[in-house]
Amino acid sequence: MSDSSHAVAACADSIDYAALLKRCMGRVELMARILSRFRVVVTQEIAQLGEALEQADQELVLACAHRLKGTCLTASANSLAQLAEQLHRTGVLRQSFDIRNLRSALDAELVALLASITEWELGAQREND
Amino acid sequence: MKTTNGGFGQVLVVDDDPCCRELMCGILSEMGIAVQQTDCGQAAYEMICQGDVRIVISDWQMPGMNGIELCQKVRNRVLGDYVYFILLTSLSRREFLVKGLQAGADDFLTKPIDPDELHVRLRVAERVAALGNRELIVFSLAKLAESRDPETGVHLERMREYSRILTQRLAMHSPYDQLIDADFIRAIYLTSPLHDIGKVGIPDQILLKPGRLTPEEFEIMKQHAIIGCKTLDAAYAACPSAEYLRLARDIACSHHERFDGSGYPHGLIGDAIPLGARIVALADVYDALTTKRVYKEAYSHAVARRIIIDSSGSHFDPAIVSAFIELEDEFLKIKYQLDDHPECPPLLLLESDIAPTASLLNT
Repeated sequence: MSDSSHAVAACADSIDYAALLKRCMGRVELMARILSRFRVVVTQEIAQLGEALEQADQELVLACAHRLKGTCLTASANSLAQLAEQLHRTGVLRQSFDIRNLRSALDAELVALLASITEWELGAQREND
Repeated sequence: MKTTNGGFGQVLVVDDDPCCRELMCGILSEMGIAVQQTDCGQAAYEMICQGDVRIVISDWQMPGMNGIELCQKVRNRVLGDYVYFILLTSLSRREFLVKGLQAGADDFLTKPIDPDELHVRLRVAERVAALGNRELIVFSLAKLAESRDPETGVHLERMREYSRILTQRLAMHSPYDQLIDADFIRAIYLTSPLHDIGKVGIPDQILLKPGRLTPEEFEIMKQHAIIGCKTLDAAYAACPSAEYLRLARDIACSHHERFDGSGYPHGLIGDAIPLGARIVALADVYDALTTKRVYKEAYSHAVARRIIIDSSGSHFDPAIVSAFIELEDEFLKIKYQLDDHPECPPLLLLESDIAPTASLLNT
């Protein structure tokens, strides 16, 4: 197991790396696997959620938002989890969605997340080198 | 359930979220727990039906068969071992919890997973799963032994009641208050019916012989203690977390030992005889004395009482005899509540009947 000091340093705004490392029982390699998988899954789920919003399919939006929230909580992507939770609550209350603002917020958060994960991975690679 | 598996049974993780599955399996592997995984409820059900899975951790919302439906389907199985079911969800509202419990879920875990909480909940799961198997194993084994001996009637039921109250009474006195807790009392109640499990290995012509055994036949009959010991020891070795099997083994092996060392199979003396065996020895003899057998009539409580008192320090542990004296009324109550022949009046009720019978049995 490599030293985990870098693991909690990078871009903590998008992902709480300290919490994720703790959840991974201090195993950096497990954390790396989770983040690698999360990168793929979160991209797909945001795309599906965007489509559901465009189609104004309330049930599908609810399901996608709930799923995204669960995925984000696992990876400690807390701000995106909060956004998904707000979306879910809006759907449950049968309120109308501000689709344009929501999509841009989701896209912006995704870009920040991917950048954060890349930075974390580079840090991990530098430490291994 | 093996020691190589962190003490846990096989765990199945069911979640369509690959991140959560990866995390859960990583944590469980780190804990040394054998884990299988799938992203689909139907596949999970088929894996459960294979029989190796003891604990299921399933997501609630999944495409196709969801966690609730999977749980209901598992609970509807008529055959198969008990499977402990933990529902995993980011839903925490009360109505969801009620719905989960109604479906048969045993516990809930909320996302995101906390490894410490997961470990504690798995410990609970393992205890519950082991408890279900424990009742089943003991009941089956005791009934097997009972089926070989047509005269026992409700002997096992009385025996375990006598053993339980003796143990409870002992726990009120020093030094037993330090040795006996509620788990021990429960375990004695559970395992005392296994004391004669070894009789399944005794030939019919000896086990079922009406009348007294010859010395040679008695030597063979004595082997039942060793046979029972070996059987239960093998079960304990295969399942070392099942401490009740160790107690059952000790009872089966040593319930014919005598406090003064004149018993069998090992001639153990005093406290060297396991406590459980010392307790069951008195319960077993009391029941044998007070019930009718092919070779003797039923003796009265008074006769049995005198024999037991006379055997204090020789056959029986004096502390357990004292507990018996304190519990006479309770013994009588159990004896009549669980009587094989309730229509027959108790025989040999007079003190004057005691002496010749006692001397006969003490030889």
